Amino acid sequence: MRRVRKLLSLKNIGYVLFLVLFTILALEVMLRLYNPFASRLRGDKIMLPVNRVHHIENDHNPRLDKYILRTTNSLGFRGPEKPNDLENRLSIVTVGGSTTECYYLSDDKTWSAVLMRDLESSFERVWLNNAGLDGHSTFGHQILLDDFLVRLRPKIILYLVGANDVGREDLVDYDESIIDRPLANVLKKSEIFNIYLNYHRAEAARRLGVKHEHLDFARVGTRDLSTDEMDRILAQHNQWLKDFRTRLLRLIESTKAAGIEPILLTQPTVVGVGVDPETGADLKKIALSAGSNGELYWRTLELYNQQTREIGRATNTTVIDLAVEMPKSTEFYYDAIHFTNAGAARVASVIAKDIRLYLKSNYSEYVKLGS
Amino acid sequence: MELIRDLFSFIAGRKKWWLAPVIIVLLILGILIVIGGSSALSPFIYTLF
Repeated sequence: MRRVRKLLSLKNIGYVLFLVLFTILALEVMLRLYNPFASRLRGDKIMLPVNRVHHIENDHNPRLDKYILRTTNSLGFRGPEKPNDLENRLSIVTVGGSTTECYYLSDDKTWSAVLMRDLESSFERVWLNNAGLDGHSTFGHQILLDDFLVRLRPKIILYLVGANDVGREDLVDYDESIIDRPLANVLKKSEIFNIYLNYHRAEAARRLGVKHEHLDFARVGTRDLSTDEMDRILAQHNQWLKDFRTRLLRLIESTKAAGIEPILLTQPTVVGVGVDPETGADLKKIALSAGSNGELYWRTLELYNQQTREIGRATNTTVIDLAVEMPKSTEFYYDAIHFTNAGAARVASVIAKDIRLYLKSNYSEYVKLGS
Repeated sequence: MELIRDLFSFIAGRKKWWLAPVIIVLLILGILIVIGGSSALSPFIYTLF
């Protein structure tokens, strides 16, 4: 008893508290000097990865290149440096999540890079940057727009939206979320807290089944879901769809208010209807993560894509319907939504075909003679 | 692992508890350096936002 009382003495408790505090402070200082977690978010702010060169040796996904080179320019985007005469360029920025960033494709093979080369054959002084960021939804795009793109003021922003907005109940009350509370305003300046926050966000991506994966359609197996079960799950999206619609409308309005022309792209997926010509897999029944299957995931994504189409019509914004135009073949995807090199090239050619006329009529001063 | 056990038995034996956070911090630094050189970074790239 005396021993316990001695252990619990104020002096000892103070000593333990001091040791804990010292450890946390030392860790915080260390992380400020060297933080190996290459996160692009700090609290609710986007930290663009400026002037980075990253070689990825890929030995786990045979559908991708063995060596992948990713670089970012002084803006923190993928693509050529910002020219001094940007206002005289046909400037385009692509915004979206992982299906825009194309993290595991080399710089020259992302659909943004292929699109730029394609447009250069018909237009002069094209400047195109890829501002896609893995995991970002329309919530993140709004912050990217407000904090970076309004100042940059490209002529056009292509928004590829949908995949990271699916089932985002955390965005419903985002304004009241932990990172906006007074205590969290202090916490979000801490490196330790940001590691925790980003780990939490990465886990959410894993739970929703939107992370990069190597999906071998020949081996992955099937999952049967009854129509009733699917309808019940789809009905849960009504509230999230309403919020997605509100965010997308605000994004379009603020893009236009900044003097930038938005163009919307729907999110394609390989799964849904039919048979994969590469593996013979039934794209309806293919088993996906988070207890889903091909048909359910496709129908879910279509709910969000339909909102994108409707908002495009309502706001007189051009919509390129990649979800309809992209062929359903695993030649073009290495999982349900992420593009292979061939997929990125196909996306670029669909976009180029669809916006060429639009660009010719709205930006005729950039049209190359004879094209 | 044995080294860590020895260190903590040294601390306990000599009652030099103030050394514990120094060792914990060094351990965490080591783990961070290992993580920094591996593909374990990717979980922090795909952060839903």
